[in-house]
Amino acid sequence: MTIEFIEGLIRLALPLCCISLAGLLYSRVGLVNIALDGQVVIAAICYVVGTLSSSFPIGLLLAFLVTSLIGFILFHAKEQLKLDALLVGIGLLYICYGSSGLICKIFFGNPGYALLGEGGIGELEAKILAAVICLLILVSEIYLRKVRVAKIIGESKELAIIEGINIKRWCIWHNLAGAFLISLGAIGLVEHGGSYTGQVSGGRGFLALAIVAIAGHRGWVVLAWVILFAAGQKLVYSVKVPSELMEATPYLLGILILVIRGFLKKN
Amino acid sequence: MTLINIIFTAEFLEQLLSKWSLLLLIGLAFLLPLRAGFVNLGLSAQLIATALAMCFVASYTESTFIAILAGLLASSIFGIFPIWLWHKFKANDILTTLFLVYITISSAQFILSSTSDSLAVATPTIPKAAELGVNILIIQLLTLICVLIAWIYLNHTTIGYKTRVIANNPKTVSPKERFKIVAIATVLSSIFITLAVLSDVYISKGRYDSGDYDTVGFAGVVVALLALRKPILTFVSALIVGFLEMLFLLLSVFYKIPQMGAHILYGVGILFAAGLLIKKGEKTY
Repeated sequence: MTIEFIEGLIRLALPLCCISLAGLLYSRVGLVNIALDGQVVIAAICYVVGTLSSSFPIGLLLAFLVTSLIGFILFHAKEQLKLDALLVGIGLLYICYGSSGLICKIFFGNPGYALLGEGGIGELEAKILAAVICLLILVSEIYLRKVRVAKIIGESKELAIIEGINIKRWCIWHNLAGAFLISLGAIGLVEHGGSYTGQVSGGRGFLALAIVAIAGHRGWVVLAWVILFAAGQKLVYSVKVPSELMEATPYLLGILILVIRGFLKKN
Repeated sequence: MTLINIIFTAEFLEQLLSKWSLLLLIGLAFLLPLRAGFVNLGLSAQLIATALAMCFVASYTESTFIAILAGLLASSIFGIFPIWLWHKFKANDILTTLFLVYITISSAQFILSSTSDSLAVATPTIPKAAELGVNILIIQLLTLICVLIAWIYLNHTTIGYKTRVIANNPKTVSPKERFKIVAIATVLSSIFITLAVLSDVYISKGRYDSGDYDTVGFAGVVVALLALRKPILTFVSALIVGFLEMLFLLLSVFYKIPQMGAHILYGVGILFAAGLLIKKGEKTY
């Protein structure tokens, strides 16, 4: 287990961790966010556009605003309009994928590739960002475990109403926090690759949903599975696998995670 | 020629009819396991596996019958595998089927790029000896019969009644019995998938091109949900979705809307479909 392996593991794990925790925050207020992968992709392109046009903070802000808008539409559709969440999630997923390609084509002349290059953050800033992300993960974990309101909403909305908790306000906060985490995760993915591509998310949005399905409401379980997945992915990358099959590995590992969890629960 | 004129041409109607029958069969394939409480988002995986199996077996054996059997087998395996995971390991149905789609897409690309001799990444063309000498209209007529079969299955058979009951009350039967009921619904839906691939790939195109079925599974989901989960209404919902898809295609050609623009329009169409299914109920807050 070398320093390089651990460093690589952290680079792989942090974005997925952010995205998974975002998924957990959404699920805590009763939303299975099928559009998560789409949010990651659109956050990635917005970050690249914002950073290259202006600066890193603008890139982050743009990614955050767009992602929170998607989340807000999903919440509103489910809670206020009582629409089918699965259908709305799929619709928003398509809109995110399509919009990302369109934005990339408008700004970079190419629907599937945008080079970040020198416009990205430096080595020191990347380390600071990683430290901030770790802190946020810790804060999210404490919040999910210790804050009474988060626990009640997670258990039962009816109980939350009886307790006089303003669910709408908490939904908004969870949406904003989730959007921020998704933005950070997307930034991590873009900075790692040095560019935006149509496949930038690599299915991590769906993988995050799998991890959240296993974790229930437990943040530390999310972290454990993310590290396990990142280690698995690191090992797979060290083996010479054709690129087409390499794209399938996150999903194969996702199914493996669900099977292992079912096996452990059974025994 | 204007957009409106094209919509009323025989070619457009022919294309619409093909798309309608494909979407209707895929919609029915999604609907049957859904009525049993299993959400199968892996329709694209089943379609791709069926197409690959049919085309490769047809090119090697030059037998239509064996090719269709191979397609049916592939479709059933890809349909039952997630159900088995769901039954044995309580693996989330939405996630496993979704993952299976992306695994199948990547694997299919690998297989096709490895085996394809020409620049086109596709299966071998169906040989003449294995061609099915059937008019496409007959297959489209069979599609209507499939709607009837699905309706009779769900509403006028004991197993169909059990299928509907376990969706809302899974504990009324044992897990083994539940697995059996969902598996039977999936095998029936696999027959619909095989028929869809037979008409679209085997008879019409003569081969499967990489990427053809990557997103069509989601269209089947939209058809089934738009039909309010009733087999009889898939007749209408498939026509609506098929027409919208053809319209988006024409818009992309006429007004140079790029591919991703079509994706956005499709997403908006799905949201619109969701809007038609508004459930009346108490607001949570």
